Amino acid sequence: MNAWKLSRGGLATVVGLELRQRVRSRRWIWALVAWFLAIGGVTGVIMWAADGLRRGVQQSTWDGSGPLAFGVITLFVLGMGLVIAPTFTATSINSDRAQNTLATLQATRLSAVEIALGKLVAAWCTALSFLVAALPFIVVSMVFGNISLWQVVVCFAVMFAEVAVVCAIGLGWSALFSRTAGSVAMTYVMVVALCWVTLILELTLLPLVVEEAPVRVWGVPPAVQRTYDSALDDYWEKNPNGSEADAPKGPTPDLCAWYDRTDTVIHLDRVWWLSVANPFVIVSDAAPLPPSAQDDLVSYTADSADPLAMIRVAVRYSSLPVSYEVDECSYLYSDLGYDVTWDSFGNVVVKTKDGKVLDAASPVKQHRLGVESPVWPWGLAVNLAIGGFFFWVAVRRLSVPYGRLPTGLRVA
Amino acid sequence: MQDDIGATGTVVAAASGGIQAEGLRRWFGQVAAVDGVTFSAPSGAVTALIGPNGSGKTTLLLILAGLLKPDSGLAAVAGHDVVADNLAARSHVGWMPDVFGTWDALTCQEILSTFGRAHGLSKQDAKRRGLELLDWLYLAEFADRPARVLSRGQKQRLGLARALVHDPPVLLLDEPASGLDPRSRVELRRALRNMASVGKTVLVSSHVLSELEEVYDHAVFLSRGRTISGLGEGPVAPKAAAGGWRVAALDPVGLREFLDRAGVPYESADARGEVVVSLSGPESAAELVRAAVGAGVLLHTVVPLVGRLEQAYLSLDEERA
Repeated sequence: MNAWKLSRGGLATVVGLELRQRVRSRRWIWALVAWFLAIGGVTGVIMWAADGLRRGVQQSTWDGSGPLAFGVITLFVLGMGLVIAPTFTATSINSDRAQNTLATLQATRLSAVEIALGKLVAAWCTALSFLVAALPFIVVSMVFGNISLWQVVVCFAVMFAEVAVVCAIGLGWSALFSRTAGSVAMTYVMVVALCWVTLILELTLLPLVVEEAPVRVWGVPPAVQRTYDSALDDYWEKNPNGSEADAPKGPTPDLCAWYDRTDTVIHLDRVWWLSVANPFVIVSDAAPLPPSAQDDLVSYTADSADPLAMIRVAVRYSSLPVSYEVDECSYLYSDLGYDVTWDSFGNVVVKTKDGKVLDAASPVKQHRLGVESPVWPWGLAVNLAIGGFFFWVAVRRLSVPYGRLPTGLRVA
Repeated sequence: MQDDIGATGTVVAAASGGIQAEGLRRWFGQVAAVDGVTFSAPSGAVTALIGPNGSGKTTLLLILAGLLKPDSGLAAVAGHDVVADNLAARSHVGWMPDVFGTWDALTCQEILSTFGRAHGLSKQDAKRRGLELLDWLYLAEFADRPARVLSRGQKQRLGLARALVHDPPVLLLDEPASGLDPRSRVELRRALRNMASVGKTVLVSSHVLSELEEVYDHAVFLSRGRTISGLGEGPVAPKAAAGGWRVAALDPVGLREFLDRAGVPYESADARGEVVVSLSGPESAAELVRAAVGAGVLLHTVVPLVGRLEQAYLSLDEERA
């Protein structure tokens, strides 16, 4: 069927038509200016806040506020991009129909895919112009934060891909609904679905993946804990005005042993994949990491508070299979004044205040949090498939001659 | 020119092109908008498509333009079946709908160029053709002005230009004169006759029958989705041109005296001396003319009050049924 014929001339005609109309409308310029100011304002605030944060933090391992600022700005631009993308295409086809300019175009040699793709490409150009307008601020945060150019390029490319997908979704809805209000609403519903509903779904499905199960605990056995607790209670009874320092101390790590218990176990690993199609997850996962972070993502995240890395860790963490062994011993070290963290290899790292590492291995095996298997290609593929589906819908709805007309659709 | 139904059911029109429709039917839900339309409009002639509102004219034109698929029946334009050969059919048709929009932000020349390129013309050809048409339709001064400054009539002319930009052999015009001032209407009539004379097939749908009178070669009547007098091979033979005829002469007094002497009853039409005479047909009119001229009356107008098309339209029984 000639609906799927695609020629460069036909495509160029429609793209030229759409862009000419867009460029000559003042509205677009104002939107771009407002966008530029909004992004600029928020970037300034974030950079100022991050800088203040850096000066306020004492920790010597703080990498600088660069990754934090860059990450927040990137996620913010992505969010704004997703909010503005529907306006490029969600009224494209049905407003043309309402103004009676679509039928005369369909009566020419143009095929349905030339019209649909032409509108989509024009929308992508508009989206690109908005993202490019945000680029200076991303570059500023890149320069101040020592972020690599490659990271910026990749983030930008993935952001554009996400916005492009939303444009395709908007085009599809504008072909399905004859009223512009309906198509705009449905496009926004889908954007919200991609961003939030995946998370909400995950949370609502949690009750299905929660179970009561026996676990092995490496910690202070309850009996031993009870003796310490009663000793503490006796002290406070006898010395109500006594000082904290004289009170009996809690149990020490050397008392730890294995014992069994029934715990509530959450199998997050059964639903974690729902969050893969989330645009924020995709961008976070695709952002290249500095070399230091490749080896030990968790430590890097703790040190730099990079939101992109934090999202990455959260998603990977939720993908880890649940362990039926719990470590309730290592935290006791913090009572003794040590600094307790875990690294990506699942080993506990106990440090003194000046950074010296103690040899305090825990027998509880944690799973390794690795970054080798990227998650974002799957998410992006899902998003592209959704976009592709809605594009196909638009082409179907534009194909002439019309056989069965959907209710409420007038050809001309 | 005969239609041949080939073995596969495709209407194979002879090389002369034109429009052929056979048994077209199209439903919208429960309503049959087109319910058995059969006619042919030859090339090199203007065919009038006439019918009351809701008779299916717009739907029929949508089918012929290649935008709507008929539920049954066959149609071919310029030798191409509108369903099986849809792209070729669309390329050979210039369609001017009765309701159309313009891209207000674009200049007239850009609009015509866009449509030219949409029809496969090269950029230069499309531009050249656009300027040609703007010139021909007296819109040359608006070539570089945005379309939003055009008046209704000018937009209508632009719409006609748009239908002609790819020089199609078949033209489907739905109310092309609506919104046009009198001079433009005259120009349009002239343009339609021009196009017919160079061999194009022109199908005009209009409510203004008195205008169509002057341009049509054939007429197709539509009522409730059906053709009434289809396959029109000649001008519509009116049931009778009986009725009132308007007669006027240079000396109104002499005319009245002649009619009184001849015993022909008349009514005064207006203050200028025109009279309305009841005649039984063109033969009677010719007789009257011969007699009057012979009697020395300076006769200059003998014309039926109601045009042939109007008479035929009003005599359609079906729409009143």
